Amino acid sequence: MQPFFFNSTAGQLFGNYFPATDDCEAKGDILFFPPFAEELNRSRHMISRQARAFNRLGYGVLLVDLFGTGDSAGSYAESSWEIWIQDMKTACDWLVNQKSRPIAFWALRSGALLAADLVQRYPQLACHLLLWAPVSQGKAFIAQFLRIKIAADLAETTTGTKDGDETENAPLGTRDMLALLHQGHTLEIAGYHLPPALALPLLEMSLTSFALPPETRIDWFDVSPSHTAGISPAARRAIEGWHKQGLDATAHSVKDVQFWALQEPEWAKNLIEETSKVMMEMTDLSEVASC
Amino acid sequence: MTETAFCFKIAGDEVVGIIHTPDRPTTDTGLLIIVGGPQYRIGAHRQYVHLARHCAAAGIPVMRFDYRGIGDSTGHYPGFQQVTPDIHAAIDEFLNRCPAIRTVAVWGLCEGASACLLGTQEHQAVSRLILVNPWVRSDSGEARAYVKHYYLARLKQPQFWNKLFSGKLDLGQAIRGFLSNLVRMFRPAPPLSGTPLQKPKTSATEKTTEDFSARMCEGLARFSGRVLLIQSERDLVAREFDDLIRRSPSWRTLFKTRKIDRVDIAETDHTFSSEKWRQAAAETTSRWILSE
Repeated sequence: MQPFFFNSTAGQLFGNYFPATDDCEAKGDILFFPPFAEELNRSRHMISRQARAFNRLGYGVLLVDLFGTGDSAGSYAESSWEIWIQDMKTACDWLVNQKSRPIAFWALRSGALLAADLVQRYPQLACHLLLWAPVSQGKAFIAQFLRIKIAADLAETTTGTKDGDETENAPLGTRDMLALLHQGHTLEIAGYHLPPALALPLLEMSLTSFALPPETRIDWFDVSPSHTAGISPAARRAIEGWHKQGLDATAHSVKDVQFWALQEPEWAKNLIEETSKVMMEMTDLSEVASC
Repeated sequence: MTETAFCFKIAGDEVVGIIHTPDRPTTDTGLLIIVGGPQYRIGAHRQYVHLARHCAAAGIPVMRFDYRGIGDSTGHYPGFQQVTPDIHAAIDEFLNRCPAIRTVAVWGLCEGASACLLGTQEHQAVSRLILVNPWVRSDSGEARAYVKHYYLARLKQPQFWNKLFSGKLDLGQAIRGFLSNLVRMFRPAPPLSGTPLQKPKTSATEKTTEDFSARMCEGLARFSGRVLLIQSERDLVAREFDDLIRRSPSWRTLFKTRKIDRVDIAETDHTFSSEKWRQAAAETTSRWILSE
């Protein structure tokens, strides 16, 4: 791997490039779109392991930390959706400057919305989306993030670690917090700042409402620890929506741990296998000479 | 401040390191931040990134890195009781890359603080240790901390009595929880099984040898450098360590006979998950390193 810093619109970003290990002709590069807040801290071991699995198939992988996240400059409070879009565009440009071509965008959770938004704005960038447990509705995702704060406030009042009378210090509800965001306030949740410039665009987003070019191929990976989960209703709806738009979209149901939500890191081996299989098939499809 | 990213090797595995170089260094002591448990080099809510930038702005060179099998690294995470080779390799890398550094202060939270006393301190370049909410968890110790700092504290709260008299408290459940903790307080520790885990070990899954906190105590006794203890007010892990240094004769003696600086940070939880708490921990750290 080759960790490095490079400049983007708002400041310096951290990148880590994992070159293909195959001796044969490189098959192109995959760009990763990171998840949000603590989900990145909890997933990093899985992300780098999948990157190395792609390397063994002949693909290079670029991991980038968005402005204000990971090892990049700035803080969440200073970030915005627009800055993040520009960051990922800069990452694509970096790959192109290396005489490489991004052939797929691989995204985890809310990274899927960022990837779809980028493809809508720059349709020529990539035509294959690999989506790991994607967030399909920004509104539900933000509500879930706000609930972390509600739960923390509640825990403080029930364990009595919060001083004073409970009724006076009633914890904020989702609606109160949304109102604060709309009034231009930044919220602090579990140690992360959520500025309006990130939250408000996300609230309006739905994965299937982005206009993707007709040649786009989408692979959606549902991850659930239960045997019988099958394809989730959200995935089914999204796939149907994309099929109506004439896009080539497939849902994969994987029985595995939801590592991005776990306190203690675990490996999701089945997910890596399933994702790698899809890229192997892509190689067969494009009839790249095997070595 | 300049930030540099690089790869280095630990026992044949490849790991990522980041160095924050101040524009005008104010000390020849470098700060190495080691992670607590299986987090990667940014830490929960990026607290290690914030801490590193704060200290570098104060003129202290700082390095962060991933253990084997964590974050971007190859290999398997050896568990916090066996990360000494990882930390020593990181110290060597830090010294090589920053020739102006003469000694290293090591900052560890939770299991990171435990690791500081389980071998880290034996590297000859380590002059200072910053132990933050050290992890000395044993089942009986946890139960004791719970009974003492949770149940007894609850009895002093008006809300608890209001709840009790208004019938909102599930009394049966509360009593059952209390009793089960009392039982755990006096139960002997299970024997250690020596099977290595293939997935990353964590505080929750890693088998600890019952004497690991005793070994920490010995490690601290052998260390002749300066030590700062930072404790969070609202953290059971910190309370359990406090109980241990009061109850255990060897810990008690050690804390009586040598100078250990201590700062308690009010209101904060285990990981300082708010900007004001994070800032207080960073401020405490940089000031202490720069104090003679």
